[in-house]
Amino acid sequence: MDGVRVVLERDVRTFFMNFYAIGFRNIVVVLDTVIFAFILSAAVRPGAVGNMTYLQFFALGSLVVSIFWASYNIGRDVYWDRESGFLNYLMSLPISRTEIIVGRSFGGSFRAIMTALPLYVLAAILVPTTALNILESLAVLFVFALGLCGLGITAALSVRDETRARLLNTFISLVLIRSSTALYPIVAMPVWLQVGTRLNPVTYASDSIRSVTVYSPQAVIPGFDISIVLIFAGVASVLGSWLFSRMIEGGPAE
Amino acid sequence: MIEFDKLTKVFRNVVAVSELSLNVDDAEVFGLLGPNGAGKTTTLMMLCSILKPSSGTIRVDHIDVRTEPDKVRSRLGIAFQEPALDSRLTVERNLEFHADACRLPRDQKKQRIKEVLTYLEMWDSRTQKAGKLSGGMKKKVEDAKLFIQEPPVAIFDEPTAYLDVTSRLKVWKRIESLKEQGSTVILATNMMDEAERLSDRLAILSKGKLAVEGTPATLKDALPRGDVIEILIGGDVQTALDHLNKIPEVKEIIPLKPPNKLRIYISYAETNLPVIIETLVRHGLRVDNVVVKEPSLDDVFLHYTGETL
Repeated sequence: MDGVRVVLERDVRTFFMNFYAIGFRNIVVVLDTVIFAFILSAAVRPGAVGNMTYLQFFALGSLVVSIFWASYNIGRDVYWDRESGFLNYLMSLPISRTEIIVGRSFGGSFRAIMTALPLYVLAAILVPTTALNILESLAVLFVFALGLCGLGITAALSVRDETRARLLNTFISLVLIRSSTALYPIVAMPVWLQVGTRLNPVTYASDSIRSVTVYSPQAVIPGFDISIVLIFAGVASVLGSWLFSRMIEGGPAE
Repeated sequence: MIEFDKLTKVFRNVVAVSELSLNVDDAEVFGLLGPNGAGKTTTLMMLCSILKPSSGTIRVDHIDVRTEPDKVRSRLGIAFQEPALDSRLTVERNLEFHADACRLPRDQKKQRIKEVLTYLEMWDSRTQKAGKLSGGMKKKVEDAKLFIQEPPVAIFDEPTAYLDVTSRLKVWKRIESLKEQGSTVILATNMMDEAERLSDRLAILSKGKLAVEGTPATLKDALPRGDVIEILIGGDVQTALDHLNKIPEVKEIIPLKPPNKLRIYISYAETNLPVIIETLVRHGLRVDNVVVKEPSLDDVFLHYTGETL
């Protein structure tokens, strides 16, 4: 596991060297919540988003979106490592391929959690919550982030061209976020979109985050939603690892 | 000992390495020479288990790279041709990363990084981000990784590209001391002086195949083309080529740069030099400069790769 630590440490170090990006990302989310969600909440009829206001719904969904961007971006790092030759270097080290992929996934998830952490202040202002709720919420987000890292790495290793990689990332992000319950409720969607939404792991992550973050004496653990998140994390991580060990094989010749 | 046995790598329809068989002994510096695209880097990538061979085997201390890649990688280190550094991290952090990945003990890590960076005159640049360094400095950091790691098998791919003369000599000395400490060194290079100075034995690859293998001295001795005369002429080069090729002792003539310079391979150069000069003068050509040389590794390289200068 030493290899995992070494790879993870690099991701942690480089993350903290890019502090302004985290700050900027969070400012955007806060502004989105304070302005966009606040205004829109007046147009959403009461009860449309369960027993919370649209502002609360949006603030908690933003946590998932924030995690999505931060962890999915590890794929971009892997892409650049491959383009710059650093990936070949990593693979020449006495670190197993599994340690590399696990280290990168944990690194990406750590980055994601660190990015989203300040947003919990806003969430705590807007919804009733406790320290335990926040810890549970972070745990679910961490697992979800692991899956997103796997997905990001899979996407990054599937293309060799920068423009295509960027387009693919934008497309995947757009589809997964927009066809989920992260930012708007399923009842507001047309029926055809609802089908896709129910197949989307972001939906289950968003629903479970709303359930576990909000304090309620009658709260029950959203077992089904969390199971889907776990399955997604497992499948995406295995897919990412498999593709990582397979795609690198055809690396550049002289 | 490193054994390459009928090693082959095919990328789609391109054969990058073909049936390469070689043995590298313990604690020797083994030079790997060849023009661009000869298959040197591909061979090294397979040795490091970055690429899988299409067929054939590589064994390091009798351990098969295919079946136990992690075990093999724990015995070797590679300094890449293009420095593989994280541009966002400082020089020191990059080297710490390498030392950590190679499981160097904490106390040795700090001490070796300081010692190697000081030796390479890079200590003052340790806090600079790798992305801000010049090409030569990046190359020194890349080489420094192996000087810090001191692996049993150290692989250098063009270790002195972009380096100034002083740095080049320092890197050479350090590679020599790695060998003295018992490391096996594989040196892929296009610089003949570097290969000649450092290599105990060398192999020349051409179009993915092994062209020749031996010590620098035996390879030079085995050249079938005899001595070398380099001659700078005034006048039409084609006329000179036409007449010089008629001299029976002349084995081959290669035009060099500048275009009026010729390299003539000939037996008994000193005896036959007057014949050459006389032939050129008789046909209205001027002889501006003449150098008689022993065959060098350049000649070995040119002979076996079929390259021209």
